[in-house]
Amino acid sequence: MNAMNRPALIIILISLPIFIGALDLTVVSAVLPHVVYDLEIPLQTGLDDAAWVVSGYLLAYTVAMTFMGRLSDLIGRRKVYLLALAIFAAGSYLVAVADTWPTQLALRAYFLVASGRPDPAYASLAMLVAARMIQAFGGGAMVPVGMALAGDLYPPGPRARILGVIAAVDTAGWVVGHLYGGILTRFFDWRMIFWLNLPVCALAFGLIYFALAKPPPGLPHPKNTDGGGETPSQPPQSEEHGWGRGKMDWPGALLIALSLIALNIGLGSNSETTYGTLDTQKGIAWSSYALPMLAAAAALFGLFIWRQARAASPLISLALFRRVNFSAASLANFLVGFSLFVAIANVPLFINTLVAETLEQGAWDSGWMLSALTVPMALASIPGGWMSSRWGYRLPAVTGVLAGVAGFVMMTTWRAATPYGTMIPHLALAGVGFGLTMAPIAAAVINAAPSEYRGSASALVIIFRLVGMTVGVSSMATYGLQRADVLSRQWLGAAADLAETIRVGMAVAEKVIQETFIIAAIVCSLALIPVLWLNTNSQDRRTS
Amino acid sequence: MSLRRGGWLWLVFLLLAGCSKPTPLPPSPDEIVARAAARMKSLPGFHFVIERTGAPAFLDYDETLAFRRAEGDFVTPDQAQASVRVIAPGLVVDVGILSIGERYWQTNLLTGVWEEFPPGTGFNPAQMFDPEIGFQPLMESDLTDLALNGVEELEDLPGKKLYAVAGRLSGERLFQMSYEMIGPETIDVRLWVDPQTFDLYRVILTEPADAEPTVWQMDFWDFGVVAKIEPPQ
Repeated sequence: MNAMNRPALIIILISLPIFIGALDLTVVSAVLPHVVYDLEIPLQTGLDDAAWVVSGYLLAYTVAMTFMGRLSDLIGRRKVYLLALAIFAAGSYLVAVADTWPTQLALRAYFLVASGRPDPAYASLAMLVAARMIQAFGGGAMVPVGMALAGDLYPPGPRARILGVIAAVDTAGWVVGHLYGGILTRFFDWRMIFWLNLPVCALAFGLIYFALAKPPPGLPHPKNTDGGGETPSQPPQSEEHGWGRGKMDWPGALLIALSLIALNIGLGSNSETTYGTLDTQKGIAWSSYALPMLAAAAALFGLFIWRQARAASPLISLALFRRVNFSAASLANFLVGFSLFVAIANVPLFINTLVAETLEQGAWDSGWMLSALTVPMALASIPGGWMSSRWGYRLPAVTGVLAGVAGFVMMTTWRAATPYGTMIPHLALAGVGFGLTMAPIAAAVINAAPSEYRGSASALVIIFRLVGMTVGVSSMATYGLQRADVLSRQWLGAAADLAETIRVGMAVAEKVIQETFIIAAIVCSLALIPVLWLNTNSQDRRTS
Repeated sequence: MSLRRGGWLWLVFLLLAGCSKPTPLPPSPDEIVARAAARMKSLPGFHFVIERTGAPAFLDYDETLAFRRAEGDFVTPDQAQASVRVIAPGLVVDVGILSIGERYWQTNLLTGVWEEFPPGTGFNPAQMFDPEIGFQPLMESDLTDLALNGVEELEDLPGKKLYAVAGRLSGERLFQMSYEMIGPETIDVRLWVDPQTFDLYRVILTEPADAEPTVWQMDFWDFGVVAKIEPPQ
């Protein structure tokens, strides 16, 4: 049996690792306090470094998405997909063992070149972040390659639907990641989350290896799936696929990767200046390299745009951004991604800091409470799609943004004593809002793209949301830590005892988390501007 | 031909071996420890790391704050600064400590701001490494059953050969100077000492236990370096 004759089977097979890769994007949001404690990372000075366990994954996931799809155009889907899957599995293994032999190995290498004894907790954390980034690179790469494979397998008519399925699988993964993490850590060590990836990856690897062994019917070029050892008998039949043609824009890939890395370091660096050094009169302090890093990020991004405008085979077609719907929906996606991640990161923080009595209870409660946000989000994306096909993109998108803002405004009323029963409707309202915006924004982007760019446009839907999330987690971690430091000094009396210190610490955490919800509400409301620019022509309405 | 050349080489080797100086015998373990203690007492300053593994050692009577590690600088005779990692239930925190003579400061857990406390409030490395009453004179007086285990290379000091000495230490005085964390029973001790300078690079103290023992590892480097220790602003 040739699996290529059953494209739905292929889509199911490739979707499973994509789901797990996306799952691992948010899985640590519920278990991060557990990980920080387990690795003995000090709370005051290590929290900003520990944030890299989340933001590092987001960053590498996003960077891989920008160019690995294009690479698969050139050297073959099967080869790149299996490579990405193997990288993801290797990364999962390394995360599970990060604080054992990889840390020992890193320390031995350190001792060969330097004297002194590095703090083993930070060495373990560095290895964990590195392993998470390896894992994310593989996980992120699977998404565009999977989408491109769907493009190979399906004709233009049903293709958008299948691309939507893969995007939905990716979204579903990170939507339930925290719940999965919370449930697993209730019964097992947090490392079990990553150990469990290995048998699934091994099974998927074997099945996909054989399923993609032969190229899709009508597409005999070996570079399409590079399987079967067949020699090219004829040139590609469809210009639309374009595999094997052109060159990989490695300079472009490098520029966008470096730009995103510099942006993250720049946004995340300010928190390093806070503990014990901040002048409360000056407010937010900047580390010495924050502004140069942000400037470098802007310069590298400018170079990337310049490169894309001139490259024969660009990673991203800039012409897409001349379409109002494409640009407006991309901007809205970035802003929604930013505010969405404030909720995903800060709801567990609120519960762990102010409500839960143990780390296990914190992980468990965080997982369930975040479901009050993400399950309505997933459910609301269905009426969002229906509304956008009936009345256009603008109405569901505007309604969704307004509901999201309202949800965040309600979250600002949370106190340590607020019962879960009160929090759930607030989270659900925000979730419904995000859900309503997802489908019209995605449809606006994909339908604004000509058919030959539909694959990269589909990837851009996810990329813009992920970049928004990445910027959100970096900047909010910085803001939160600096504000916490300023408020602690203002509110804590001289030589306070331990009980008073804990009381003030909780009050500060409550205040800072409220403020981040206000910022999320403001950022979310800014998304009203681009979504009001969305227009729906008759062609869009048909295809959405 | 080859046999004749081999015979010549053998003869040259024997002659060289006969003419070379005899390998000096290593000093006795007592002498190694005495010279290491004297060397440490004479140093104007050094950098240290103290790490606890195994069974927890607590900083409070309620046994909620467990000592994990401390890293800092000691300046002779009575100054020290260090960052102390404390493990509380569900929480890991670093506390800064600074001691100059009779004055003692700690950082606030929440803000990191220095606050002055009466002497003896908490664990103080200045007391632990005091050249008159600290660990250095204790090495001279309280170590017994010393044995030289040979020359060893530590994993984190590749290429450096060190005397490895084992012995037993009466833990009563160490108990007092370590904020009642190490001791008071007799403790198994292992020391690694530089054969040339007699700098003490590492000490491992293993406390007796029925189940899991508490193991303390003290590492030293930057011998003779005087860190700048000033009262916090």
